[in-house]
Amino acid sequence: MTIALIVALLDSNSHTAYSLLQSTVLGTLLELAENLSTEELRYRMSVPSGKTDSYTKEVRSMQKQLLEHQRRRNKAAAQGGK
Amino acid sequence: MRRKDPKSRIKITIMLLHMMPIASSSLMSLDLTKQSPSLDIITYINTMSSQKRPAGNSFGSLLAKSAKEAKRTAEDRPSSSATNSGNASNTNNPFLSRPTQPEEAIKLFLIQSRSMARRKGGTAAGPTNFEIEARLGTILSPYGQHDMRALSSGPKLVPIKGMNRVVHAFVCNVSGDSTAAGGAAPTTNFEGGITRSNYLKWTNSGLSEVSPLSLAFSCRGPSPNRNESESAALRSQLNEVETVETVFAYPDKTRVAFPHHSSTSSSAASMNGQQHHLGRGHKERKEKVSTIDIALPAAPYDLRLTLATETPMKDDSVTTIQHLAGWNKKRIKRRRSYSRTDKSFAWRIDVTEVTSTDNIAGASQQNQRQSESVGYEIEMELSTQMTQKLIQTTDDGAARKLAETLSQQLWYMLQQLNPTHDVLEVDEFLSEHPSQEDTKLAIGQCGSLRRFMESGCQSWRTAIGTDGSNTGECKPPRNFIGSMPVNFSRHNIEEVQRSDGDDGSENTNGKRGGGGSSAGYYLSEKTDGVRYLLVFTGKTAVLVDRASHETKKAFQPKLRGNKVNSEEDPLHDIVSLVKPGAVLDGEVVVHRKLRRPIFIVFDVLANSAAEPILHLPFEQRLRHLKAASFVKSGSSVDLFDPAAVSNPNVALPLVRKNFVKRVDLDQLLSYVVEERGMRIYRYGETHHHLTDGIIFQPNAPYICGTDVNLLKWKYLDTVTIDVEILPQVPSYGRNQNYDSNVMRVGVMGDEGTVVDMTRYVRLPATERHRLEADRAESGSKIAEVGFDPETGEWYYRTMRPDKVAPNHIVSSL
Repeated sequence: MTIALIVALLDSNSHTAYSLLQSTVLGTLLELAENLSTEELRYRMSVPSGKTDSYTKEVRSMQKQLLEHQRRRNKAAAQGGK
Repeated sequence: MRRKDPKSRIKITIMLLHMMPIASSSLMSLDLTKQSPSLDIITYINTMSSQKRPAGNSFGSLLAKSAKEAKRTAEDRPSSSATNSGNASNTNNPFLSRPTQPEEAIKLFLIQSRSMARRKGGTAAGPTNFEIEARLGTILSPYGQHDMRALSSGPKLVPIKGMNRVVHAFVCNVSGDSTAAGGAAPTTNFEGGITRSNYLKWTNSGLSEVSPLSLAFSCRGPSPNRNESESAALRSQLNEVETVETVFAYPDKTRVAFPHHSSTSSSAASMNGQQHHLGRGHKERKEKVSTIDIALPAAPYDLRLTLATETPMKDDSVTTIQHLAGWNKKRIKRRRSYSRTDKSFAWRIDVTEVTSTDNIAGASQQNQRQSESVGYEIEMELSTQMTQKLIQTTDDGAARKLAETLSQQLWYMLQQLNPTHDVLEVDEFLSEHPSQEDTKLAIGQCGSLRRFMESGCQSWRTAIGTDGSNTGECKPPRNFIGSMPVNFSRHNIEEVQRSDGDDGSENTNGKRGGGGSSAGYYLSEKTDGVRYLLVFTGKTAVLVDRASHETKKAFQPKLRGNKVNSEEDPLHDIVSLVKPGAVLDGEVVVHRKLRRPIFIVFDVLANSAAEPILHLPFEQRLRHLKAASFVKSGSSVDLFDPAAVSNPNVALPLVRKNFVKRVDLDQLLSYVVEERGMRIYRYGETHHHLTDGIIFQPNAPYICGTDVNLLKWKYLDTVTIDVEILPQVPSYGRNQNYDSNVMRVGVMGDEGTVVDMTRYVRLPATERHRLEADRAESGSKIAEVGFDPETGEWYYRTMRPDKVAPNHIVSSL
């Protein structure tokens, strides 16, 4: 049964398989692994009907900006120390 | 770290252990205002506990009493059956014998500290500095098989002057100076520090956004008129100072501290992107003059108040780290200190990450490193100026007044950082329904509704007649008929997004809630209360819970206000308005502001004995709820009158739940606020209750039992699993790395086997101490624990005496 459920999960977005995992240890761990935050939900639920949900794309872009910001900050600190 | 003022000062350290909010009014009968200025804490405690006053009026005499209590054995520990939270019988726990009001305890400690400092010459300028500090930590019980908190979680009902009162604080330990102590052992130990998760949650925002830290200083939000950012608003109100210090402690209570200075030197240690080097060491002796430990069982952490002296010592041999020898502990303290820029708060908050290393004689450098541990502390220290003012004030009356102000200020701050849960649980407001006949009818009506759905809505046989009579169809359902949601997953996002669009394809695979202008989901906050079906039998209203079909028990609210001693039905006022046979689905929650129960109605299953409506789409059921179609025709009374919520005589006001379409989720969640560590849904005067997520309600017929289209999303820090605490196993025969003190936990596997999760589920010490105290009280072996993905730490939530088995590893039971 366990193997069958995991196979079902890996195989597809099986609605039934996911729902069977509710209130189970594996279900809880999956929920944590998905890491669906309040901010993401608020953003994605507010996408108007028929419009494209660009959440993932925008988050990636902002993560790149954050990394660049860190690089610039470290560079500035290193230059200030010389 | 802290610069010493040349003049005397008192430092009050308050360690915040696990705490929650308090009903300050609950102890108002304990009038302390008539005490003389010279009243000491012993007198205070005796007043609180009505115990015989010990001889003498020093802390030492109290310690002698403490030593006597320390002789109690583990067998004296309260039995699990007698110490349920909120039960007056739990007074046989010795630590419940000293109830106190926290602000009063703090005030009297300040007054006592002033007296002691003055006796020690604190009024004159000199080398000795007095400090008054408050720290958060855990008061550990001397009883029990495992280290555990002195008191189990939650506010306590204890008898005071013949009446049971809700109490949130208890004095566990008071110590004076060492000479007065007479070597007596304290009854409890205090272990300072909090978990990394709480440390980050409460303080990590610093000055960047509103957090418990900024709320502790009562900081205002950004001014919209000035287009001010949240960060700018906080920076204008708070000072933040970062310091790093290495401290070497010696067995003779002296210590040598080396401040870290920012440097451009390439040889210096790098910390937080900055270069640091050690400054000149200075030696000092730090001694505790007095302490008081206050247990705050309704909060995450307990509290220690300390009066200490710090005396600088001249010793040129310790100015550099290379010359140090004989120390027994090294601590690197990375600290951020916060204070109000306008000095309107006399207390400073220190949040510190402490890396400790024991100096083990003969140990290699690698072994020394292995003894390294990292702890997290929150302390509050009274400012130097205020400490001096308190000590040097010659007028006792003025000193008492000042102490009162300072204690109120400190308690306010603590309430933000370590909030106490001062609200009783829902079940405290309910009682078993006295009518067996109506209970049977109500459960039977639930059975009728389930059979109606199972028949494909073809056969409706009501258990309750239209006149409230028993129709003879009174058969209980096999299980709870309330619809149960499944977890919201990522793959549901697009499904919900599409469901309110023009794409009707969702319906092609049989899924409900998809396609069509009338389809889609209705979203609401997920109410964190207790689920009930409210069934109107004609004579009364009955609250049917998840287990009623088995226990044959149901509930009703307790009478309140001026009706508390009357004989009438608690829901008499609304029963006469509602059609017999009506069934409402909802949750009983506690209104956090008014501290009273309310019933949040979110669905209607039957308008009357003649009109079941659970086969209708949710949109139509919601319309019935808004129109209150279950109210008898001709009635002009509003069943959902908001005024009922504020009427103390109404036993259980009904409040409609708010639903929005999915694009309005952002607006819905804007009414969710964090108050003292809890998420509260606050909407108008009627909604002010705990919330723990979002419900996605499909526009579809009601499903009895698990509804795979009804979705629930929970805040990640409320996602938990139930584990079983397994018996310890002997350490012999196992590998040497096995720690016999580790709590073994497991979950259920196939065919009743136990899956050992000990390796994965490890609680920090403070969480374990809370768990052990609750476990000893409840006798349960099932604990609800959660995982913080940001810190990788597990945390303890509560024991589950209502459960006999842990969660299954993979299948829903």
